[in-house]
Parts: sequence; C-alpha cells; structure tokens
Amino acid sequence: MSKDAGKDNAPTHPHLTAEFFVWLWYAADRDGGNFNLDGLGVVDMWVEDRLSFRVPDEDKARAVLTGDDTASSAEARAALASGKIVRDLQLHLRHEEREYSVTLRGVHLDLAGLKFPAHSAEGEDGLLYERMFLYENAYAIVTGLYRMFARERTDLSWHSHTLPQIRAWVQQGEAAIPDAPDIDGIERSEAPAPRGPRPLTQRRPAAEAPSGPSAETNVTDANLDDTNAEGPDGAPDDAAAWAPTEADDAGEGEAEGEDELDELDELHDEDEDESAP
Amino acid sequence: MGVFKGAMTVRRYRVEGEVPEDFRDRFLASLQDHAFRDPKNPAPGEEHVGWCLIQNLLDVDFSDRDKWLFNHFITAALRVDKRALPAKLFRAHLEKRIAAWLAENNRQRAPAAVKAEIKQLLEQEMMLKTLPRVATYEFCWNIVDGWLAFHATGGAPNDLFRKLFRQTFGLILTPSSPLDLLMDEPALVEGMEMAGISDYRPRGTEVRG
Repeated sequence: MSKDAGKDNAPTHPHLTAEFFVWLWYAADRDGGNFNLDGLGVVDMWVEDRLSFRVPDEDKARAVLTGDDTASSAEARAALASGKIVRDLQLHLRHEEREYSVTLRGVHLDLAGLKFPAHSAEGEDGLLYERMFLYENAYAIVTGLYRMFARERTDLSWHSHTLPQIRAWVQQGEAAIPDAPDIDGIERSEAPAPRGPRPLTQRRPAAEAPSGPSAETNVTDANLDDTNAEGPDGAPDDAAAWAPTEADDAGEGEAEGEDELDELDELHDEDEDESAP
Repeated sequence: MGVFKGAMTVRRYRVEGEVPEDFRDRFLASLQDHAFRDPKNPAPGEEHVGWCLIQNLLDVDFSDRDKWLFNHFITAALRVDKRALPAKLFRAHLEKRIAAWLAENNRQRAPAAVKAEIKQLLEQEMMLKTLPRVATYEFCWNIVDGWLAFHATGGAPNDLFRKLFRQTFGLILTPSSPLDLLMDEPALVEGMEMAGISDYRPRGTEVRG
C-alpha cells in the first residue's frame, strides 16, 4: 500500500486519489450523473472534455485528451487499460441552480480552474462572502463524492462486484455498466435528471463504439516533445507538447483543442509566474 | 485570478493552532512586520518574499484592517520577487570590462581575482537597473472554521507560503488530505487507510504501457 507523507507530513495515499478519479468517471456513467449526497441532496456530475494521464511513480502528465466526448472515447479507456493513471479530471458539477466547472488535480485533490456561476454580490465584502460560499459549496460536493467513493471502496462488494464491473467498463465502455451495488449509507437517486453535454439517451451503443482513434478527440502525448519538461515547481507544462491528430489534420477539433490548451495555460498561471528568473 | 475574481486554483490547508483573542491587533502587527520590502542589495537569483494586499501588489501597508479582514476571513497575498540578469548581455559587458582592464594595464591575461572583482561590480551595477519578475499568490483564511485556501498548487510557492505563514502568525499549515474529508467517520478513514491498490486493467491486459 502506498502512503506518501512526503515533506508535507500529511499522508495523502496517492493511489486512493487516482482510484477516486477513475471511480468518478465510472460512476458518472453508471449512475447517470446523479448522486444523492449527504447533506446536499441531489448533485449532477459529469466528466468534461479534458483528461490527463500519468504513469505510475511519476507525477507529470504523459497524455492529455481533449475534445468532444473525451470521457467516452476509445483513447481514454485505452489509456486506463494500459495502466496509465488519471492525473487530472475535469468535472462539471450542478447543485440546485448552481453550476461549477473544476479540475481535480493531484494527491491533495487541489481544485484547479474552479469556475463559479455568475456573481450577484457587489463590493469587496459581498463578493468575498459569495465567492467563499460558492467555493465551500463546490468543496462540499467533492467531499460528498469522495465520501460516496470511500463507502464503496471499503465495502466488501468492492472486490467482488464493483472492481470487476469497472474492469468491464474499461474494456467495453458504457454497455458494460450494471446497476450500482446496494451499500449501507449510500442512497441512490431514483430518476436521473437531465444532465450536461451528453444525455443518457444519446449514449453510443457499445457495438458502435469506435475501436480506433476517434475523430472528436485530440490526444496530446506529453512524451512527444522534450519541451514538456516539468515546470519550475514540478508542475508539468502540458501545453508545451501538442501532437497533431487525424482530427487536427482534418481541421476538426483543432479550435477546441486550442481552447482547452489555453485553459490549461490559465490553470498553470501560478506555475509560470513562479518561473520568473 | 483569485479571491475576488476569476477562476480559482487552490490548495486547501488546515490551520493548526489557536487564533488568539487579540488577533486583530496581533495579526496586524505581524503582517506589517512581514510585509514585502524591496531589497536594498538584491543578488542575482535571490528570492524576496513578503505579504502584500490583494487589491494591489504595491500596497504593503496593513494598518487599515478593512482591506484584509472581512468578518471571519483574512486575506492577503504572498509576493515573490526574483531578479535575474540577462546572461548574454551580462557576458558581453563583462568581456568589454575585462578587455578595458587589459588595455589599461597593458596585460595579456587578467588574473582570476581581478576577473572576479570586475564580475562582482558589474553584477551589482546591473542588478540595480534590472526589474524583478514578480509573482503574487493570494490566500483566504477562514479563522472560525480553521481552513485556508491558497491560490496556487505548485510546490515552490506552497513551500514559501507555509514558511512565511508560520513565521507571521505562529500557526502551522497542513495540506488537506482527501481522508480529512471523512474525519467524522473514523471507521471509513481506517478502512481507506488499509485499502490496497485496485488494478482497473481488464484481465489479460496487465502490462504496463
């Protein structure tokens, strides 16, 4: 069992964070994006269009997938099947009328690029209170999701039921998704509410799932370019490496890919600032 | 991007220790003591850190509490300045200076000690003309609930921040662990701590890519 205390003196259990990311991705498919969380009620969650992977024992990203429907792409599951570990996971969260976009990153579950609903408060005081309220709300959703994961992860059915189903999902996609296990403390939502960019009714049947690279997904292999060296504080500069794909050659997805990379640049603003000589 | 505007990229900390009852006065004095100050003799590559107000990185006067204390939230920004000389320009100037010394002293080679002295003088001279690269990292501290959101996830700024925070407030920051999210369910924490690694790869494909 890996337990990394490091210089922070705070055990982080990096394998559990990586498993949490995979579980979120899987559970979003399995539960139709609807979660009934302690103290919050129903929350909608789905994986957005950016995923990054690392290899075991390394922190820097080795592959970044962007584009439409990334989470259901054959490339994404192929990365999992090959043993790559999810490093960053971009989520869309919806609680009551509030929607958030956030990337969960690293062993500390850092929240990166957290975008809030439009603000209504004015003045510094009001703005601060409102933004902290929204931050706490987003953090509470992540907490609720982690708690749900922990309950499944520590349940006896994990190895006999959930893990085999995740393996089948990795191999076969959404067609392999069964019902969620019945676990004490986890209340399932009755009827999935309409959700974000890819409603359940529009899921692609497994038989039609592409076996090769999908035209909608851009793959960035961070190994392709030495310029993807770690940033000054150890953060990878994902945007430094960009591998053209079929989609790029066809002129499809390029703009979206660039948008994603621009966004990634923003996420690493602090790291880049810190690179000041 | 940070506390007041834009998307948030934050690492969350637990603040270990008690906030004193007279924190308004004590923290004001501490922030003033550790506010950012321009270095008098900056050295190449040296980092200078200190607190500034979120509103403007040039504002380092914390005497007005309304600018950094918002009910139970304390906000400020870590300012990190670093100066570096442009290497090629520095080398070019250095060669000119050494050539001038050789001509002046009618020598073919300059002794190492002379080169070192010329280099040091040139460094000091150029450093005074060089603008620093400036970075700021904001934080927001909820002193009632004992958590703090630091607006950077990189290792280096977080290390600098934790060190200066401890020097300033006398309190220790511990990065939130995911297991902190389960603190009210000790059995769940214990179960997670004992959990091994799950291999998600489909059977028959367990070859690391």
